[in-house]
Amino acid sequence: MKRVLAFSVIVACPVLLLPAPQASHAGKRIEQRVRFAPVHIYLDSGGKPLAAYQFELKATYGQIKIVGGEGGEHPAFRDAPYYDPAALMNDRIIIAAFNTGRDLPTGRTRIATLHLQILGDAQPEYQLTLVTAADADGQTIPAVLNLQTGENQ
Amino acid sequence: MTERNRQFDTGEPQISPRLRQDLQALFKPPGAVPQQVDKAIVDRARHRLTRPRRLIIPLRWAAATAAAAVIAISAILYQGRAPLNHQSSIINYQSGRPGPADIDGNGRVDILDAFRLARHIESRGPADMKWDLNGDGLLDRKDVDAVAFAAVRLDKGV
Repeated sequence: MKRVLAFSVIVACPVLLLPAPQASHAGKRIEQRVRFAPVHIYLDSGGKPLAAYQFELKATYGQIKIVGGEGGEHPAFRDAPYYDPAALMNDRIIIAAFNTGRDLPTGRTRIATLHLQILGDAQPEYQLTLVTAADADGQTIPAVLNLQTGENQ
Repeated sequence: MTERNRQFDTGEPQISPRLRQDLQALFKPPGAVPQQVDKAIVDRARHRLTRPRRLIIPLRWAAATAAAAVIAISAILYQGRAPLNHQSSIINYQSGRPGPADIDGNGRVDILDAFRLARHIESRGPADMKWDLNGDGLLDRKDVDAVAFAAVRLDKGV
């Protein structure tokens, strides 16, 4: 019987010793104040129609977790954009979308909204990086990207 | 010393030889067990006792392995790893490799690769099966999605 017990322990120990990051942070989560806030992402393509975009958002200050994302205001980008599911519950995300149709937004338009969980009292700061923006011909266009926090869109 | 004590001090009580013979006959052990009977009993006992023991030992090891498996699975589930869903399984296609997903050949995979592949499919141009990133023999929206998901993967950088 002792050999059987020893065998069970030997087999189970390597698995039990694997890191459990979510469990290790559980204590901190309870102690901190938690609130939720949306972040609206706007892109200004000037006079060019916007057919595709890709950007990266990450928190440079404060502790956030991305809990969800949704599309923009124009019908061409209303569907949920592409993102890596691994970005959820992370503080960094890459968002992208495209539309091959003819009805495309021009000027400043809200392209996506991210929903964040903010831990603690610190006001988070973000770094927003435009990877690419393109018109209906797939040609890159100069565009300005900015964000707005809070419920107002 | 009283009369009563004297009776107990007289040693072993005397019994008649006839009574001794009758008692010995009554409690006499049975005759010797024949060797054949003895051997048959031993063989049957050995047969019944050894066979279950052979089964018990593998059952113990099987139970131990099952217990270890249950512990291991519980530990994995407890760690709360992200479940695979449709999107993440698409990311795990071969599209994660920069080569085939780099549709425009500019050395990086971004949303414009997916956009160009989608435009190519919609225009019904000549199909280049090297863009069949999920390997299903078709060039369709699933391959476009595979390129797009490769573009937004966190572990590839910007």
